[in-house]
Amino acid sequence: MQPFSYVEPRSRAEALRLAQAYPEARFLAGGTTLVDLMKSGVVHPPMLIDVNRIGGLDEIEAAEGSLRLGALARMSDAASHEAVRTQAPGLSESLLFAASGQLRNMASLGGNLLQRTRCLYFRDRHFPCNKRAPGSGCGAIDGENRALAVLGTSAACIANYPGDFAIMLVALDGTVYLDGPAGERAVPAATFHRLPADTPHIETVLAPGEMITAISLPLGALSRQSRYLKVRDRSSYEYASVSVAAAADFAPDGTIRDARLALGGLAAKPWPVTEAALLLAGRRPDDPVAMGRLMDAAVDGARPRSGNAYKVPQARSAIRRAFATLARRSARSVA
Amino acid sequence: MARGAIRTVDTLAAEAVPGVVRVFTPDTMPRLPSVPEQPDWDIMYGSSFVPMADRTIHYAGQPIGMVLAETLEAARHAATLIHYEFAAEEPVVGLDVTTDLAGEPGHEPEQIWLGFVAGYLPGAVKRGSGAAALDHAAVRLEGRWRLSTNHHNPMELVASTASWESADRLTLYETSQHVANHRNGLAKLLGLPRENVRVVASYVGGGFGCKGPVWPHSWLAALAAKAAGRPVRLVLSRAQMYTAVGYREEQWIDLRIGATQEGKLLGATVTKLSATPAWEDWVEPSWYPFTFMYDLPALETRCRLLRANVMAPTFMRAPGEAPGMLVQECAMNELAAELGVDPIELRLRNHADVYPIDGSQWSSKRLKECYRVGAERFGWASRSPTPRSMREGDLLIGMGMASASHTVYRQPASARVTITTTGIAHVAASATDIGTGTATFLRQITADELGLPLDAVQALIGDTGLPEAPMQAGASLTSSLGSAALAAARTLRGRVLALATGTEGSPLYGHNENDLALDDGRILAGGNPTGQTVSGVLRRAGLTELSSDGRFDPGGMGQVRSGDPVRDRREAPRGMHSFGAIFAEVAVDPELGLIRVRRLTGVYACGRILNPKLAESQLIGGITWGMSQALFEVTHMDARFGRFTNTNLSEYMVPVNLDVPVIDVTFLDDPDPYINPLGVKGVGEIGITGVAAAIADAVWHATGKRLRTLPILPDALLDGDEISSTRC
Repeated sequence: MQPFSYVEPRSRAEALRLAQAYPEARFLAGGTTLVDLMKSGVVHPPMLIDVNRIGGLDEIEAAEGSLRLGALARMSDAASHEAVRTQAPGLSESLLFAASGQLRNMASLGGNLLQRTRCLYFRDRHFPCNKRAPGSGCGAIDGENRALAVLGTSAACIANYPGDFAIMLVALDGTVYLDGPAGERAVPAATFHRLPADTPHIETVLAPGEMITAISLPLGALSRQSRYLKVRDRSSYEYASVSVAAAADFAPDGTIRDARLALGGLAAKPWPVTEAALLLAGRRPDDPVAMGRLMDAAVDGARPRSGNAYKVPQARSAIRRAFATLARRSARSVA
Repeated sequence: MARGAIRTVDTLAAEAVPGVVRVFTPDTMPRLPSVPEQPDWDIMYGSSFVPMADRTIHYAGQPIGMVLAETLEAARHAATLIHYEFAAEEPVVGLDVTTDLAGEPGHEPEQIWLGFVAGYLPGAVKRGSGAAALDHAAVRLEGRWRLSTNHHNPMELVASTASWESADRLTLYETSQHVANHRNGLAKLLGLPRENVRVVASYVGGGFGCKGPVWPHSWLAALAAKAAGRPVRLVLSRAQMYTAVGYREEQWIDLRIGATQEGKLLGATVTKLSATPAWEDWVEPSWYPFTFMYDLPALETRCRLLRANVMAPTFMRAPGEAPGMLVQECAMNELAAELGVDPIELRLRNHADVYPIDGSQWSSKRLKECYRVGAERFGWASRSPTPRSMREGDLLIGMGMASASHTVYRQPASARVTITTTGIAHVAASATDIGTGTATFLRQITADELGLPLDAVQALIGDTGLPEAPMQAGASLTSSLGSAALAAARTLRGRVLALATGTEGSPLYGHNENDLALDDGRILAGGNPTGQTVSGVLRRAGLTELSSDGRFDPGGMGQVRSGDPVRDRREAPRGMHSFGAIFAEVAVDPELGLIRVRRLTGVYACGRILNPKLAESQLIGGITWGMSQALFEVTHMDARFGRFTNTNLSEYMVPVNLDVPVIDVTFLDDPDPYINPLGVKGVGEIGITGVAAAIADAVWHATGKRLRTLPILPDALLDGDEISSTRC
């Protein structure tokens, strides 16, 4: 780890001022990604701006059909929050299935959105990587790529976005709130992350000096019937090979009134499948035609490399499984 | 950089970092007075390679610089600032190359050096004609098993702290499975008398083979400490652990095996392909289980080695047996399916009633009972033999089984037992405790023999100043050192009683020693109190303490010196093995490709079990590792760079708690009068054997797919990458 300076502002304004004055500085929240990457020599900010002492950024509020999560709320606190568990169970699942208890106690929601890829070539500075060292090439594209993306990739980068929470947030039409030199703004969660194209080192729409202050999502029939299905080689403490964030509002006859779908693990960014509402409306989850069309739409344009073709059939099955589970839960709650 | 040479080195920036004391490069590193040579019958080296001695690069991860600093953080940071320029060449790695580093399609070693525990094994075995026997086989099976590179990954990192007490006296605190080996190795390499080197390692946080041999980090720490004139602590990073202390090599094992229509094995050929460094041959003897496990009349084995840009592999849990039993037991299960015979029945038909290597008797063998008891405990009879015939909802259920076995190794060992007038006894030996309970079993044995409560016995371990114990390896420490401790305690008991009965004026003078017993520090005669105590006997003799040394010597060191692995592994003309049977149930989610192990049942006959809790713990750990071998562990090599890609515990997969089901372990009473005075065979290695084969068979039973590439990952179940067993 390279030497760095450390500052601990007590207000948001002071933190933003420091970030503007020191453009290479990084905000430190839970530190579960950043410190790890600093120790690995992947990133080496000369200054850390610890935002943990700033008040008012860790609150969780549910009111008037909306859930608002402070950027500094810890994953474990959000996952176990009564309103999250009951009104957006899929969001709670997406947090609980991630990392370990110890990490969830430290990691912040804002930081969670900014998790970096687990691509082996990104995390080991001895390999070329366009994301870590722009222009050095992509080691993964013809290398060990079993864990990496098949959707949204480019010739410069096939890294996958590794997180879980963001996938559910995208599915449930969440919003990310930012504050920075140009003032406050709100960004749809679905457009917060960027595709790699030829600039894979730029991963989000965050402008220099900007910070995440809060996250929100609408609460309603969809969020109440949401599920996060995480598929991975081992049972816990592993990133998703494929994950499915699904939500469906069922009519009493078991047909779907409205639905949402986003995929994780296999894409360069959280991957919304915007066709879900249209393709499933008026259909039942066990309708093979509708589900087949949805699965086709979900993995349309997939470009597998040597080691990750299995993710395509895995994702198709996981989508069907997630909606089938939602239907069973819905039938049970009606009964 | 996995191959080439250093052209220039610039250390200025590193030296300027605050807190940096010294920076060493291959140009400035002090030289060893002598270098490791293989073989060395007294010292087990990890490799004969000496890094930091010249500018040539042989493998990625090779040490090319060392920074001493006041803090670990400063040292690590400064190390990144040493600027090298390299002349790089294309590395040669991987098993699918057409020519190796030597420009050859590989070579077949005549013999394999496995250090002083196993010595030389032949590079090839020929028993009858395995190839010819296959011609007459009614059923033949042919396949290639691909086993991934695996690493030991003990939780505790490897570390050395070297402290020179004077110009020619070194103390080394080392993460060592064998302090005497590190003492002997460091003394020889540094040109010191052995008595001038002290090595300390009382408790070690897991070793699994990587902390047994002497590796370069130890002597680099010692050389650096000498040059700096102050103690040096060197701790390998987790990533460095992947290239500094060995690993289990990637291996392809080609097997042809044939049987009669009745399922009697006729013969087999086994060819193993793996990679080794440019400077020496390392082969894990994966063919070895084929020589002892079944009544297999004809066998031919070969090893082909490719010279590559890799560091030397080394011993890893159950070396030889872990991969060899996997392939052999998978083959038995595939044959059973071909023949339509129950897997247990096929094993019974090929049971080796005598030791197949030389036709001698077994010292003890209760394998058939392991099958029977295991089948009962597991509920094997409920298995419907047809693949894909057992379901639960979306899940396919599969059951599989395999035999387990491990060779009994015996090593010379010494221990000292001392009793004092305070009523406390000490048992002392240089052995390390790597989590197996060394101190506990030494205290148990001593307490039993001296008639003391466990709390009255203390153990002194892990220091070369103590009586010499063997390597904590090969499931041999408890049996070998325990026998030495038993001998010491028994002698001491005799001496105490001799003092009591042979000293004029003693109230017990003239008593028959055989009539006396020790009980909680008192002396009983004919079972009745005598009013005499051990302390009293010592005091009357003017002693504050009394010591006895004990030794276990398996004869000829129990080591291979003739090149004949059979004769030298044992003293009596008997085959000595632990045996077991392992049963697995898996649930496969065929749509998602997920495999979860739901039950594991193991039944073992391992001689006498000294401590059921410690022994069960060893088996649970070993079985878990076997499951991990089957489903999780792989170190990926990117052949273009000659570099491992997943050198950390986040990306090197091992099971988490949720993956590990309840593991049901049973030990059969297995008295063995031939092995050693304790009758202990050892339990440290057998647990991993057979497990992966049982799980692979359970996966086949669930899905109908024979998968011979390990670990078995979801990809294989989703890609339709099916290998049906081949009749030839």
